[in-house]
Amino acid sequence: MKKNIQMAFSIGIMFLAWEGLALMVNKPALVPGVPDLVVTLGSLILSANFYLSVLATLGRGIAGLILSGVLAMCTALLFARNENVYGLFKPLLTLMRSVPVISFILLALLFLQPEQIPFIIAFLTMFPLLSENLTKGLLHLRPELSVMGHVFQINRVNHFTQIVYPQLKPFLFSGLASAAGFGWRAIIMGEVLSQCPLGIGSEMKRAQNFIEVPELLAWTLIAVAISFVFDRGLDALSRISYPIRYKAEDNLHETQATQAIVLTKISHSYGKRSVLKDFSHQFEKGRIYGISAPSGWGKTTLLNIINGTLKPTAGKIERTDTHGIASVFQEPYLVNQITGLDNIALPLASFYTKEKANEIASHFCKLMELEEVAHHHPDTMSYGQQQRIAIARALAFPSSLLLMDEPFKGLDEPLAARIIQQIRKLHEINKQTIIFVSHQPDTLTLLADETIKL
Amino acid sequence: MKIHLCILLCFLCACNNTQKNSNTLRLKLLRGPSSIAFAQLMESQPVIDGMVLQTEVVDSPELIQAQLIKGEADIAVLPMISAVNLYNKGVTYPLLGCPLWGTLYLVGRDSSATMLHLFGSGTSPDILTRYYLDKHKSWQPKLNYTFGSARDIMMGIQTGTVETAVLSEPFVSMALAKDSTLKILADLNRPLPDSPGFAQTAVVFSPKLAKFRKEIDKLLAASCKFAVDNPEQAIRIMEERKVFGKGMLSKSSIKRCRINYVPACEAKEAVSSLLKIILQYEPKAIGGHLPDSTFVVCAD
Repeated sequence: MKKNIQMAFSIGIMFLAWEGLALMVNKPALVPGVPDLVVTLGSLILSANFYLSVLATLGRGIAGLILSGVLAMCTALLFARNENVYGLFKPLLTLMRSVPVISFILLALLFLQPEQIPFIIAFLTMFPLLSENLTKGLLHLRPELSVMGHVFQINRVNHFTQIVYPQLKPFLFSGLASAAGFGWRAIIMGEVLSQCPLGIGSEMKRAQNFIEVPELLAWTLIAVAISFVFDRGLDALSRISYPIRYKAEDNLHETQATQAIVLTKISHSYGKRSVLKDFSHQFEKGRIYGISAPSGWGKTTLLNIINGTLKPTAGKIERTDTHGIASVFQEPYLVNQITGLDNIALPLASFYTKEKANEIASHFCKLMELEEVAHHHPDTMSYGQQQRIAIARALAFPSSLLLMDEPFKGLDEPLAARIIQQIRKLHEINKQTIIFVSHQPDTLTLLADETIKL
Repeated sequence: MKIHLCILLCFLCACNNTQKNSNTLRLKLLRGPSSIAFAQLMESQPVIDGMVLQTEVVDSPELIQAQLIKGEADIAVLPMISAVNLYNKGVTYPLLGCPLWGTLYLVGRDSSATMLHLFGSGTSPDILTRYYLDKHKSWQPKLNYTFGSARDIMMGIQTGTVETAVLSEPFVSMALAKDSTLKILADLNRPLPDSPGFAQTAVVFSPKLAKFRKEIDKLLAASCKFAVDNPEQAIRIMEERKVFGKGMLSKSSIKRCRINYVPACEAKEAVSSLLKIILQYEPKAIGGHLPDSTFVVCAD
């Protein structure tokens, strides 16, 4: 409300200053007063030509924005996948961004029909801005969140709307706002210079030819108003967040892991550095295994091989599961744009209705002593709270296998002990196979049925 | 900080290079046929009451309009419709005389084309073309404004994308010289064969020069006569001063510009008949009404 009053006040001051200038110059045909401007604006709005011209310019703008958006997304995907291609085209994009708009227009005037020029100018102005922003957005996507989505087998729609889109959104809308701002001005400039029959720029040029200053100013106000509305529209669009899409009815089919997870002579190396060598073990169904080893000996690598995000360089793994693996990763890997509760409910959306998923998520929040922060966003939580959200997400997920990588990192001992107690209680009911990694001897003693030393 | 501000102010002030020197009279000419008429003045720089008449060639009517609005010209040559429009909007530069009587021609191979290309929607070429077509109902082509200028249309004729078009000098002569199959289909400047033409170009002046009016009239008339009598000299001056590129002008193009300086008082009837046509076809072009009697005043 205060902002609106300030804006109205500011506009009022501008109009007063203009009226003062008009009175001072005293040449109404050249510097019209505000009432003259209002009358001219009114008569323009009442003419059919007004709507045709506005539609023509808007049509060019929107068509240019759509074409630029689609092509920018394709090129950004290509650039994000292949940095060499990005390196090859980056100078071209920088050049396109640096070339003055007027150069494009002057060149286009030589080779194109007047009606084509504003549209082509719109494209040439908007495309580099959008493709650079989208490429940056794609390169800034957090790969660990995609791994999380893959391990929990979050469905494609939720993966896009909850994981990819929120990360891409700031880059997308910053690009759109810049592209729309620059593009709009470039289109009007193109219309002025190409003198195509219809368009806001064409009307401005006609008004200028006839020295119709009130009309020229009225068209300028119209262009500013449309740009403002478009900017507001983009702002409103950027505020839209898409809700998690849940199942219409619960459809969890009980799935059981194979009788055992059998690893035979598993080896893995990162380049020349070997971290696992000929590791063999049979993880029996329903038991809790603790894995212990000094840093850099391959504990996380082993969990990643079991959850399928890494392929061993040698050896064989026998494991079956149908709908994802409950996992606590080395870091919490939470989506910052949704609440803690929604982070827990997100993987559940593939199996349950919203009510059921939220009920389960709330229950596990309570178990993890997180009721107070359940509706907070992860980036406002402490590391320990984030870690407990990650544990709750894994415990709530309906899988017969639970993998945890240093799950109690960042938690104080009494809290860690209470959580271990909760995990053991749950295990008595669901008989999950649990494999976890820890440095802490106490944790291994309290939680593991069996400790494996790498 | 102060030094930075001073430097900034110096840069900003440097953009304005049209400072008035009290010992000069500023004559603004439009790049085009009207500048040919005043080629002699560009070289001779005559002196009127101790003030040197300095000429400056300006690229477009819009720039001349802006200079008149800002009071940066003492005498200016511009399209009649712009002069009247400005006068009607309070920029009181009255008419001094008319130096050119029409440079517009309809060019093509025959009058059967269905498309007629022309430039400057709402300006003299457009209005006079529509006026001509209304007088000659037997041929009603579709009007095409996709080319922005006479130069673009001439290039269109050369590349074969344009068959029939309205052109102004010197592009008429250039097109005719390059393609012998082209001919002038109509002279848009003469509604009747015995008509002197349309007073399309105006010389306007600052009212404060009224007392030197006869002297200025004499100079302008002499300059126009020089261009007609010495076309080679006029062409040399235009080319040397880069108003036109080499080879763009020819004797025939100067002849077709119909250069003849007529003082405002004697051109009153011709101006009035042109303005009535404009008022009928595009009233906005002259500000919606005819100028009052103070626009065309006779010398004392």
